[in-house]
This record gives sequence, structure tokens and C-alpha cells, in this order.
Amino acid sequence: MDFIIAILLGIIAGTFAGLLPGVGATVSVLILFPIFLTFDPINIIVCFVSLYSMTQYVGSVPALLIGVPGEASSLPAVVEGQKLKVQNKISDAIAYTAIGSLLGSIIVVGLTLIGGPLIENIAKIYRTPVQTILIFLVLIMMLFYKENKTSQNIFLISFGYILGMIGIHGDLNREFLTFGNPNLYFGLPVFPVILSLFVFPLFLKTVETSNNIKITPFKIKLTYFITFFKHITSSLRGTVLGFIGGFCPGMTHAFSSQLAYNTEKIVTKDSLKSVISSETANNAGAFSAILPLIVLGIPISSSEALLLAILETKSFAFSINDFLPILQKSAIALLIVNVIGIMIAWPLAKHLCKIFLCNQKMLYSILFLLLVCLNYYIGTLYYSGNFYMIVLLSLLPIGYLLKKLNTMPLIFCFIISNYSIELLWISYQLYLK
Amino acid sequence: MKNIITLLTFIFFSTNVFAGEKIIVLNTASNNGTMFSQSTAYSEDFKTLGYEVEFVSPGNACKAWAYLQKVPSTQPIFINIDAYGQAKPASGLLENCGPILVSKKDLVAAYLDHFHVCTINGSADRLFANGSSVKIGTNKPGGFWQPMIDNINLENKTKHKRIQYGGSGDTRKALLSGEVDYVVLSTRHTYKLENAGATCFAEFTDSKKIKYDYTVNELSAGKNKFDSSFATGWSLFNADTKMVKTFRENIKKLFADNNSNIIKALGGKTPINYYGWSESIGTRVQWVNGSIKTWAKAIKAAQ
Repeated sequence: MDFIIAILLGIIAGTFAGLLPGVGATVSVLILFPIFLTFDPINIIVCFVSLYSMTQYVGSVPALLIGVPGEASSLPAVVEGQKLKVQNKISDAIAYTAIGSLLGSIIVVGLTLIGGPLIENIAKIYRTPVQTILIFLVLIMMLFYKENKTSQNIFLISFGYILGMIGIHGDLNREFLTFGNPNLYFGLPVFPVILSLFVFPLFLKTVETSNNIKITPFKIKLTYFITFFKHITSSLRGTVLGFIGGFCPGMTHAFSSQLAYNTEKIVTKDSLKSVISSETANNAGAFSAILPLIVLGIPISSSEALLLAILETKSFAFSINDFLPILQKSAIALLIVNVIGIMIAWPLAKHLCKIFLCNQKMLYSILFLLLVCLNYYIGTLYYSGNFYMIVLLSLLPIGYLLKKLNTMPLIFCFIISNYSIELLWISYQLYLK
Repeated sequence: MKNIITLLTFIFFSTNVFAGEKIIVLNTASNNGTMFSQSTAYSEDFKTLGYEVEFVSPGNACKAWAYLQKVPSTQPIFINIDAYGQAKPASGLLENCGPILVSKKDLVAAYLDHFHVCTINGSADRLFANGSSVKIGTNKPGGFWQPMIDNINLENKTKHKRIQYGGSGDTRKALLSGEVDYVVLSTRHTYKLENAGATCFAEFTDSKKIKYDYTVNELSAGKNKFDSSFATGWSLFNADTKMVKTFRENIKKLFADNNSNIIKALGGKTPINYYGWSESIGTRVQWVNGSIKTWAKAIKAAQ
């Protein structure tokens, strides 16, 4: 019974976290903290897996329809959603991404359970060269993004790196653009940066092209399961790449979706296939991201680190000798969540489609104001409401200037900057020093 | 109307009379680590002891310091003071962040810890064998660890290379992936490594042994003494002597109770670190402030 309650709680929390931008897994776990204290350790993990997977499911609906990324993993869906609206393929995208996510999760869970004991060897993927190659592969792909000129991509990548490197690094002997302000010592917060430099330019672009957008109301049709087979190759590619990308520390499923999306853009150049692949990938990545924690006790994202801290208050320690029962329960939970995910995502899409009957300018203005309020609220959770607002307001003019570009390379580099530099530094110590 | 006013007056007075004394529990470290879980555990324990607790976790040492400046001087506040968090501002390289130090007047509890050596499939032998060459993963600060490795190389005629990682989790991953041969990590992480199949064997200290039978100093052929000890303190600021004394006694009781939240947070058994309940308050103050000073010096040396 507790197992079912844990799954249901994860589904409810994950639905809200997926719908509300910025309220990702970490904030959700913080909110659920008092409830987690009443659960036994395995059900805490089950609840977390359910939450994590559900955010991916639900997050893709507002990302595709309204252009609001629930999480960093939805960025490709936001960019492609705009094109798909113009092509009047948004309903297909919503249907196929949900089916793709289900397929991806089933495959990943199946292979993980069959692979069972072999999973012990996942530690090898954490060798620095493997991680470095993965990160820089995506970076190179971004350099040749078709939507922007190569010179513009170089500018966006460099600017993303500069923003991401703000703060104090290493042994505190490298201070970068902090101007002695303690708020900047730990870097720029992610939410106001994404809002000002990714969401804002995209909203402006959407409003400008709103006359070309015709939305056919989303209808729930079982025939989608048959027509989905036209895109199965993209979905399978997304599953494999998403599974690998999920192991990337710090970025996990966000990296999965980028890896699959960029690969698909090269292979097919098709918006629908790209978004199916990236959304399948982030669901596959959501499961692989938790494997290092379950098998080796290593958290690779902030939400997992918080989960581990909670589990430790319950005297629980992950062990390589008895990870299989946890893995099996998590796998069952994931499958249940994926089935319920479709049952929630499709009706949700049906209702969200109605929003497009409103005045587009007004819709996006209200939406943006809500996001600004949310920005302040998220800031207050970290005692930095004013700082979050200052960052947002300072970057909005730049976002306005970048409205004609696809700013995804900037955001990606902002997020990975410190990690990628650290990888290079470790490689230097290992092989060149 | 009269009844409603009477009821409201009763509720107002009863909530004020029966509510326990308010204390703030301030976590000065990140929102996802050991200190966070210990702070939340203490908060829960204090609630059961009858206090009205407000738990605050701003996210890092700088924000916590800024928060502390705004707390009224009459409001008791329970705060964790760890060598790593405070060494950064104490080094003078980080302005407007503290440091927060402990004193005999306010220290309630403290623990001493130090680093240990772990390997995935080796033994202590290669670390000190004449002419051997291994990769040793360490955390920051490099200014602390590099001179230690240099001394081991010099005294044992070894050619070890130190690889610095961004955090303890990254260092653990490096050992488990086979990227390095040895790592040097604190007690808490050695438990996690042992659960993941690694072996830990020697303590990097010249003082108290906490977990293993040997210290690095006993294994090394050299005369140089290595000590990586560091301490964490818990202080109660803005409280009178009586209240601090009560807290010292209460925390000691919590540590004797296997059902207390803090004991569960520490692993559900005897705490892994050395709390030195029988040591004088002065000694424990020296542990905390001394290790802040040592690590601050190391951070500055790395500049």
C-alpha cells in the first residue's frame, strides 16, 4: 500500500513540477521533505523516481504548446514547438512524444533488469575522457546549428561560457566577474538566465509570427499508436542516446535531450522527429540518471544529493551488494508512472490547446508576467528574491537583442561551462602534467 | 460577540503561554549535503524537546553570514560552523562572508574528523613502496594536499601524481571508475566507498585514530608528520549561560538516544566522528577555530 502511495505522491508532485517552470525535482524534494520523513527508504526512492519521470512527461506539454520549458530538458521541445505550430503538427508531436517516452522507458527498464549484475560496471562511464568526449560532441554539434550563422553560434557559445563562469572557482584563487558582490560568488542562478535569454526572445518571436499559427484542437486517438511506427527509428535513437546522456553529472536528462536532439537534427533535419527523439531521450535519461545513486551511492544531480541526505537521516546506505531489489521496485514504479503519464499528458494537452483561442499577445504577456512572479518566488526560496529579479532585469535587454537567434547554444554552455572546464583540467592533470 | 472575544483572547494567550522558546536553526552549508541533513535532524529533535524551531538554510556560507547579521541580538540561534565553509572567508579571499568562529561562551558540541586513504583493489604497500608511482585523487584545496603528496614522494622515494577533483563525490567516482589508484577522503565518504566495494585503510592524522588501526604516519618511512584533522562545531549564539548549558546537556542526551533524529542522521549508531564529550570546551573550541585557521592557510597558500 505504501508503495502505491509513494507512486501517487510522485505523480502528483511530478505533474506540478513539470507544469511550473523552475520548480524542478530539487525544489519538489525540498517541499516533500516532511512527508519523506514518514516514508521508509525504498518508498522514498520510488516516490523520487516517479516524480522525476513524471516531470519529463508533463513538462513536454507546456513546452510544446506554450513555449514554456518546465525543465532544462524541455528546451528542444520549446524551440521545435514553435516550428511545429506553424506546420500545424503540434498535436502529432504531443501524441508521439508521449508514446516515444513510454517506449523509451519500457526498453530502458527491460534492459536494465536483464543486465542486472552488469550494471555494477557503470562506474566506468565516469572516466574523465568518456565524459569529456560526450560533452564536447554536443558542443561541436551546436557550433553548426542551422538556425544561426556559425559566427553567431560562436558568439552565443562564448557568451554562455562567460555567464556560466561568473563566480569563484577552484581553490578560491580564480574570481571571475563577481565585482566583490557575495551574491555572485556562487554564480548566476539558472532560472532568471533561462527566462531572460531563452524564454523571453522566444516569446517575442512567437508573438511576431502568431498570425501564421493555426492550432488544430488536440484529440485523443488510439490510432496514434499505429502511426507512431513511422517515427520509431528516431524514438529508438533517442532511447539509446538518452540512456547514455543520463549519466552526465550535473545535467543528466537535460543532457540526454540535447544529445538526442542535436544528433537527430543532423540525421533527419525534421522538427517532429527531433522532438520525438529528444523527449524520448529525457525519459530514458531520467532512469539512467538514478542508476549511479542506486548502485554506487553516487548522486549526480542536486536533487539526488538532497535525496541522499534525506535517506541518510533514515540510516539508509546504498550498497553494491543489494541494489537489485531497489532497482526492481524503481523499475515497476517507472512503468506505472509512464502509463499514467500518457493518461495525464493527453487530456492536459487537450485543455491547454484551448488557450490558443485567446489573443496571442495578451496570452504571452500574462504568461511572461506570471513567470516573472515565479522568478521572484523561486528566489525567495533561496533568500535571494531581489537578486533573482536584478539578474532577470539586467539580462532582459540582451534577450531582446537576441530575439532573432536560437539561443539554445548560449543556455547549454551557461549550464555546462564549469563542468566542462573542470573535465579539461582533470584531463590535463591525468595525461599532460 | 462576547464569547468570540473571550475565545480569541484565550487562543492568543494560550498560544503565547504554551509555545516553547523560539530558536532559529541556521544551516550555513549547501542545501544538499551532510550539514543540511544534520541541521534538519537537530531541528526535529529540538521540536520534540519543546522548542519552537524556525529552520533556515540560505544555501551557502556567505548567505548564512548575511542572514546572521540581521538576526536580533536577543534571538537565540543554533548554527553549524565547519572548517571548510569558514576557511574560505577566514583566508581573507572572500569578503562580506564571515568568518563565523566559535567561542567558549557559545560552543555546544563539536566533532573532530580527518581524512583516510582508500583504494579499489590495492593495498597500502604501493603508496609507500620505494619507486612506485600511483595516481592519488584528492579534493580541494590543492594548497593543502600537494605539499603532503610531495613529502610522501620525497621521504619514500615514490613518484605519485595528485589529481584534484571538484568535490568529494567526484573523487569517489574517480576511484570507482578506475581513473585513480587511491583517494584521500573524510570518514563519511569512506563509508560510502566501502559500501561500493572499495577498501579504506589508513588515517591521515597525527592525533586521534577514529576508524582504522593505522595512521599514514605509521606506514610512511619518513619523519614528516601528516595531519589532515578538521573539526565542525555547533554553537548557540545570542543565548545566556544557562541556556547554552541546557543545550550542551540536551545534545549529549540526544547522542545517547538511538531514536533521536541526529543519531539516525549520523548512521543510526555511535557517531562516526570523534565528539570528545569528555574533552574540555576549551579543547573543542581549539579544534574548530584551529582547523579553520589551518585550512584557511592552505587555501591562501594555493593562491
